[in-house]
Amino acid sequence: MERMKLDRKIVAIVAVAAVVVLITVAVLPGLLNSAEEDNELRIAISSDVNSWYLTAFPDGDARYVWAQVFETLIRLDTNLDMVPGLAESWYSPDNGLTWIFNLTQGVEFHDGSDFNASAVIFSYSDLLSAKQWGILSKINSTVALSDHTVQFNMKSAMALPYYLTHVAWPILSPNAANADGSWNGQVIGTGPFKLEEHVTDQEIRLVRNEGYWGEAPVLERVTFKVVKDATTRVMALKAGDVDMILKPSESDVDDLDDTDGIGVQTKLTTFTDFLQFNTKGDAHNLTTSPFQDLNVRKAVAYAIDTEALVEDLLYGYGEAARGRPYSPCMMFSDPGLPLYSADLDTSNWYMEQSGWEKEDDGYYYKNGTRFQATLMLSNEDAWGPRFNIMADAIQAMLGEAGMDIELVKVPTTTCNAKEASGDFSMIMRTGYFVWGAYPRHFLVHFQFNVYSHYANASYNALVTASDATNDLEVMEEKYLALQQAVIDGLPAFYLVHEYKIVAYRDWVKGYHMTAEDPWLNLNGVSVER
Amino acid sequence: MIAYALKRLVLLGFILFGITLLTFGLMHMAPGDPAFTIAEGRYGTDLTPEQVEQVRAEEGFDDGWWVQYQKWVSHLLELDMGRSLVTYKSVTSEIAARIPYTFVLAFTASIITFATSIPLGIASAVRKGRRQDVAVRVLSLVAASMPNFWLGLLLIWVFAVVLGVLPSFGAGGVAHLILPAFTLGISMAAINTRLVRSAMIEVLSQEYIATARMKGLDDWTIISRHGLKNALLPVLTFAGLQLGFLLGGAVVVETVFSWPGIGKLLVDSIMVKDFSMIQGCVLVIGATFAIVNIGVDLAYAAIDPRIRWDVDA
Amino acid sequence: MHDRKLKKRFLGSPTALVASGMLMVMAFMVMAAPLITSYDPLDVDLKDRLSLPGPEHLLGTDELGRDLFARVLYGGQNTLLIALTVAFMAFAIGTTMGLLSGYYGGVLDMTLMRFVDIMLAFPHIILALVIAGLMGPGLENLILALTLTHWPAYVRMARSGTLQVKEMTFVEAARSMRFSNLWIIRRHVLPNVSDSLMVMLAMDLANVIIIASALSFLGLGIQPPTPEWGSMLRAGVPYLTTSPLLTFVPGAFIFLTVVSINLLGDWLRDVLDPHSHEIEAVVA
Repeated sequence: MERMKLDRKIVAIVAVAAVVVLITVAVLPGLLNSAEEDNELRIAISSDVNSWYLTAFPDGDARYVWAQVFETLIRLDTNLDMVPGLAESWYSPDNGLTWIFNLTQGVEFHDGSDFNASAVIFSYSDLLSAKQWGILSKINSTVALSDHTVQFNMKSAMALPYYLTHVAWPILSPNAANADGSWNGQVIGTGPFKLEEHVTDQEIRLVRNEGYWGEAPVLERVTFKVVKDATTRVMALKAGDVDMILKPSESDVDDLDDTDGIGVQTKLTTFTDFLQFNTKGDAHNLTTSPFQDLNVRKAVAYAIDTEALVEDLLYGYGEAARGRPYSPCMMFSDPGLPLYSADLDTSNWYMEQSGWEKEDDGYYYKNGTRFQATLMLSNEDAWGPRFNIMADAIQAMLGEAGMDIELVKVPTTTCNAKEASGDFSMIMRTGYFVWGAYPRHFLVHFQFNVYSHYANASYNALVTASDATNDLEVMEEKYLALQQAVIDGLPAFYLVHEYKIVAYRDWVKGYHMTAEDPWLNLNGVSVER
Repeated sequence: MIAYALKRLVLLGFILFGITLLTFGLMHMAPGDPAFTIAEGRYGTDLTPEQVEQVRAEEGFDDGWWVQYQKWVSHLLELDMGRSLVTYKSVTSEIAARIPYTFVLAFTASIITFATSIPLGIASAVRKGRRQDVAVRVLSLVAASMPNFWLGLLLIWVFAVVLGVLPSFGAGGVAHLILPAFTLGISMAAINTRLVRSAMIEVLSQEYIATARMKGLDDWTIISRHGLKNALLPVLTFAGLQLGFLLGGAVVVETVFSWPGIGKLLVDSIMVKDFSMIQGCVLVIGATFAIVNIGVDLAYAAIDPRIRWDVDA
Repeated sequence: MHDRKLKKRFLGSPTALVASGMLMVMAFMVMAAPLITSYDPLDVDLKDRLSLPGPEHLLGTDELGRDLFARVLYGGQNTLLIALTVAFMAFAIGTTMGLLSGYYGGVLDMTLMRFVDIMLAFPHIILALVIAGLMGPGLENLILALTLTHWPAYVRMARSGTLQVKEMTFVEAARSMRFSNLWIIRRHVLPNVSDSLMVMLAMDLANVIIIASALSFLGLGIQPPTPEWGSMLRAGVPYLTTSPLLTFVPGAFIFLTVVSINLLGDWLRDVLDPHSHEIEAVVA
């Protein structure tokens, strides 16, 4: 009898506990959601801001944040044309040897100090990254002609304005620097939003810059949440935990589009994913890359079906590059460039030219050794969730063609170390020297570039010539020749021209996508819940 | 008692020494030249051999390992664990920023654990061998067999994807805590239920319980007056082991839910081979675990001097 | 315990029967994978990705159009290979060390036990994670990392059992009769500790499966395209919203295997080692 009583008590306790738990689960989210502020936009991005200063290049999605806080002298509009930014106008009196910028007046930094010529000179001084990295090393000196006029003296002619559109090389206040030029910890830009708080690996909170010189932003706050995993970003958007996400996986786009209350915008960008070959082998002769042989590189180009990659893997959200190095939205991209089409017979023909024979197991052999190569990529997913699956598919496609490919997915630092020592045969990457529409990407195959694994004298000459002029006609001629040289010499095989994908809740009003990747234009965007 | 306490403290000191030695050793067994890795982080991939040598000299990699170890420990005593090889942030401050998150998660999971396992364990013990007992035993075994990453993903699927009522990632309000805390709490509750059950069965078979029964006290009074206290004592002894379970589980659960605790920091650091951060995390986790375990031993010995659990000491 | 008695009790226990039945079915499906499915687990078909279960693909296809059922069967071979190798290696090394250490005592015992203390001062999975992370992903590295972190628990168990047996009169007697130490260990000590070690091994096997698949899930195990339950789960996560089966199926296989082993281990403990403390078996 007493046992029964006890039993009932225990059942009652368990039942009460269960009810409490259920109520908590059901009610809490409702309570907490009311904490959202009106006119705050919460955006999920895939990587944290690694740097707030010009000594280090902002990696991955950090640039979307920089674009809100810092501004460049020249900006790009939706069609990637140059429009005034912190510079009202600019010209070169001598065809690219010197450049004169007239600065916008009445602009204040976030700390209230004036934006003027000395800020520009500071931002392009020798200590800071753009010059350290060698990209802007052709700047000989910068001179203030007046408080709001700056002259750049170049070592040789150069189309400088295109470079100055890059969001990674904006204008910072000299007040952010110590006397020796190192960073003093302050984040001082001129952008429409200013930094309120940065919690490492979690979020970056920005507030409206009330003294913004341009069109005043509608949003009061912008919070970037760092969510590395693409699926998690999608779920966060669906659950209303964030208002906007960047770079969802291509396989989620249709599903997002079909979801009530969620809008998706996609647009072709200037970024192109490519497979870079190690055509030099290893400096220390530790490994020998089979891709020193042009025939083998051609066999790869004919074995990879980039149209299938786009249609089947990316659900059409991308454009098959078929070897074309420049996205069609780039300057000078050649619409008449002859491209590759997947064709295993042709691939086989090229392999046989170099003495590779297919054996019963379906793989190529030469002198009894199986064809083996590595495909290396970063496991950090910073460029996009598609990389993983694309690498898997390429491994399968090349396997089908008879090449035994090992995937090496390693941290970016390991990737860099292996690349530096030549311990790889292919690397998959995207972008590189891509900013705006200006096609400087060819630098990546320039023999004396750190990222280059290609040595071709005539190619080098073309690259040097293309960067030594401000004459559009000469540039066009050189850039067309460079594209042909990539198709013929295959320093890399180009896979997919990327689509930028942004999804958002329909309470986000007034968002229009721009084509350039690191640019997130929040001008005129509001949140109306 | 004092002798026992001293013995334990000596053991603690020894274990802490061992942990530092092991952590230090692990990092030096890591493949690759640490000077190269650090230099690469500092100067980019376009490295000159001089830069690598400069780092080697600065960091003292040319010294013998014992000199390096002493240097490392002396920094450690000043709470200086160096800088991250990836972000250049101070390892100490980064870990300090993450610990509260792991603490909150572990604490909430423990509450869930005790709230479910104690009533279930008692119920099961009281009804030993009956249907209720079998149900609880099977249920706890099933729950203990669920890999927590899978359980976490299932909960995400149900509550974040299908129902859309709970956030699936990161820290924020209480809502963010629910899924990770339950994921961690459920498997721990499963184990704890079995502990409470077996401890309770043992207590219920004691003579004084039988005496109390003969005195005509009802079961509820017996359990609340005598049984519970005595049954919880052995359960609490395993608090140390449970902490280990919590910390180990936190690594996986924090990763699944992007919960910014020390476990996720460890996994992220392993992924990017941030050696100094890995070292810091392992050290802090190992030291916490060791200190709590010894602390539990001492507390237990103080409460119940009859029992000395340790067979080895 | 007598074999015949054990058999009788086994047949009389529905839990043991169901659990071992499940385990046998699972083991058969995994080992006889080529007989059960005609699909190659590595066969990519980009035209047929993420398809739903149907007559052609029993459980549908994965993110590269590979047959999910075939992958989960072949994947089990790798998962079980890892778990069995690790558990038996840890068991063999740990037991040997524990027996010797407990029997001979002295400096060897002292040193070994302090080392074991340090190893056990870390939560299991954390040490394994760090070692696997430092060595890099791969089957051999995973097995090595897990074995390195698993054997100390067996040392403790075998040693404490040995210490108890050592004091017993029959061992004392054997020693005084100058039987060789190894003979005594084999003849008297081992049989007396083997029951609890067997229970521990059974429980540990389940544990190893979980930890090994957790490491794979975190990206430190076998690399694609080779199937393995933990890494399949990891690969399925990006498709959780659209194709949850990719996550459910490998997880369910891990779960069913672990639950069967645990049920069996639970039963085994009740039979072989009824006085053992619950915790030793559960938190192995």
